[in-house]
Amino acid sequence: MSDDAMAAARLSAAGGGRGSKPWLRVLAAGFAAFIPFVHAATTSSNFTVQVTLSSQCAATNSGTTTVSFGTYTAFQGTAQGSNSVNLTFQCTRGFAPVSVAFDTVNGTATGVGVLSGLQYTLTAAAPTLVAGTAATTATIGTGDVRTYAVSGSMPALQAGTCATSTCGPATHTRTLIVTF
Amino acid sequence: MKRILIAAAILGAAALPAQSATTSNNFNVSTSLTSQCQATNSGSQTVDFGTYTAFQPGPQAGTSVNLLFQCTRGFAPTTVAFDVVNGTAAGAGVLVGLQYTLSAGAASSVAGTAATTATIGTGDAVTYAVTGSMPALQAGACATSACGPTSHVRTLIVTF
Repeated sequence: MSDDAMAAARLSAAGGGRGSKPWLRVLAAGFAAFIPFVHAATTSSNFTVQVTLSSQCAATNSGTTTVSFGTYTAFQGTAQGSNSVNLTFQCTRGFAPVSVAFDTVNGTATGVGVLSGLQYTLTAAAPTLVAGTAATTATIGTGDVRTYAVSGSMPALQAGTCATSTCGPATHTRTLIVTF
Repeated sequence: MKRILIAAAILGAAALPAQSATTSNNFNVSTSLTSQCQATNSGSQTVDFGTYTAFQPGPQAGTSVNLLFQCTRGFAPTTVAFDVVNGTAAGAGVLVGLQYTLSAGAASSVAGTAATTATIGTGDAVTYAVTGSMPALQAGACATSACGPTSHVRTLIVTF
């Protein structure tokens, strides 16, 4: 029992004596209430928690994202730009992909492709990074989010291939491949 | 008559030991016993989660370890909790940016042997199985393609 608690207990026993103050009795009662907890004892056993983490990146896009070149007029005098699409990936915090490339199914790894007889080139910009939140004992946290803006350009002066006055919109699927 | 006297002499000799006597004095043996529990593990115990692949769709279970305590016979611990140095008392923790939760199963008890006039007996053996689980879909924190094995020490605290 601590000295404070002893004093409080004595004070409590003398409660109601000459000159005693009601607030002191309340204080003493408070200490007395804690005294039983002093008797609880503990013993402990150590052990180790261990894990190996394999870092990953995962695509987090949902829905369709389309790089649209709009309407290309054959033999037009200037290059035709496209809109830009954002492709997002979620990675282990602190872990950065080493490189990106495009699929070689519908074009080249560097982003070149042909659609309706029109050549185009896609470009993936350097990714933007939004740091994830750390895991805590209450939440699992989130990964770093890396966003690649992909846009394209069709060179000028192309003839295209089309048997009628207009063709399209024609589409095919391309893939951005992130290596980590 | 002579034969009877001889018989009487023999009887007299046999009666001599009956003359030794005893007396006794009672006293008390007293003790107070403070019941205790103590950890009896030796060597290292590891809850091993193996390899967690970031963003994996299912939770990852850890191996189970048995933590042993020896208690005064008939005396049961009231509660168990984990340390708050490397996590929460409820068992949550974070390792390599991965959250995990430990849980201690109900205690299994093997009764000790009673003390006798020949042996001191043994305590009740109380065993807690501790297991862990890591939730699915975690990113973790690691600057390279793999980190670990990484570990830290947790403690099971038994209150009695």
